[in-house]
Amino acid sequence: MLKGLVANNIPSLMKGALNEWLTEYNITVPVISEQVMANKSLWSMLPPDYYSNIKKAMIHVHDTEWLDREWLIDAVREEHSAIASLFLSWKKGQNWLDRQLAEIKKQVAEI
Amino acid sequence: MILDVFSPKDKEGAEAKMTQKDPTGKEGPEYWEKKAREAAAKRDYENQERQARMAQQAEEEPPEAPFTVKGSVNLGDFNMQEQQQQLQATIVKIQDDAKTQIQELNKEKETYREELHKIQLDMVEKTMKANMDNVLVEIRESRKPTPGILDQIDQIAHMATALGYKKPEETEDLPASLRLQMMKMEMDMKQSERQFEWDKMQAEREWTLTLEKLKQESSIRSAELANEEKKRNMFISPFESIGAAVARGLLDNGGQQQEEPIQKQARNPQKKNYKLEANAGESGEIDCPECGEKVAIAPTARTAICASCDSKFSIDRIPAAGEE
Repeated sequence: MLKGLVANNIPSLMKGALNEWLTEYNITVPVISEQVMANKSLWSMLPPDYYSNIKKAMIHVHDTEWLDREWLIDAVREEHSAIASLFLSWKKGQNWLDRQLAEIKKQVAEI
Repeated sequence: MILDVFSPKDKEGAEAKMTQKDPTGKEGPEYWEKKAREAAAKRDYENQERQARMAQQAEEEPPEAPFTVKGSVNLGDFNMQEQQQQLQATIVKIQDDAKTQIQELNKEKETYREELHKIQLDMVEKTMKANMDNVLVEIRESRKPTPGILDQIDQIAHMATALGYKKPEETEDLPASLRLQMMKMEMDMKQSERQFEWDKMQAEREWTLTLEKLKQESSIRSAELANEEKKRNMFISPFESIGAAVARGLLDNGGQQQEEPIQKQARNPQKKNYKLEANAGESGEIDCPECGEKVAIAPTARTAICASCDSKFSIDRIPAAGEE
């Protein structure tokens, strides 16, 4: 029952986790702008140690369709409004974000 | 024959001749007159001859000077080579002395320069310190309430008393009309002072009331915001908190607790348009004038949208120099 509850609320869990990561790693608009302009891959920046944790977490995640640009912008809108604002108005940033999310989804599926 | 009548011998002969009778028998004044002319001519001739002889003698042997200085000076022997060598030695010595003096002066100059540098540094330090002290004093003074006009007048009066000035006493020998006028002026002044005090009190009272009102409004608003925050905290998804906790665990940051996420304002349904100017390629963040949230300016974006209230910002890019 608990597993089902967690699985149903994965987007909410991820929202909290995402905001926490952005705060902890001090991910700001200039940092993201630089990544976008250089077209850097987010997944490649993830330390390999995290793969095992992600694998464990993915046991409870049956679906990643919800993980798209709109979800991400909504997820960070309250706590990181500048980042949300960046992706709301910047076409180049939106394209980059779409590419990154697609890559993350693909990599997660392969783990 | 000419006889020298001044010579005694000739004189005797002449006298004898004179006593003789003219052999021609022509004795008389003509004879003696002729003799006298001959004698006078002889004297003139002899005088002239003597003068000519003396002049010739003077030319041949000029008269000696009244006094003469005689003596001699020995200037010694002059050895030019030796003198030149001595001169060169003297020059070398003078040059060496001059070099030594220059070196000493340079050392002194360095010493003075260092001292000057130290003095300048000290001076700068002291000036800075004094300026800082002045600034601090000014800040402290500015924090103090500005004294009123009456206090200032009192201070001036105290200062004047301390300097030895005395308040002019009322003289009774002034005309009555003038004294009356003075009293009237004093009364007017006191009245205006009272009015000023009254106005000041009123203004202070009003200001205090306004401040109190603002404080009350502020406290009410704070309470409302706190209530709103509480309400929002109650409705926050517990899974988000779990997600944050999971993230914290994954980050493995030593169990540091993060602050609770701050709940943001509700989104503004009314969109507003603003205009911005930015240099080409410039990026950054601005505060939204509507909701105060951060709005990102992307490096190449022409618009920016506030994620909180959806206000739109049109960005006019100023081309860099040399670009169209």
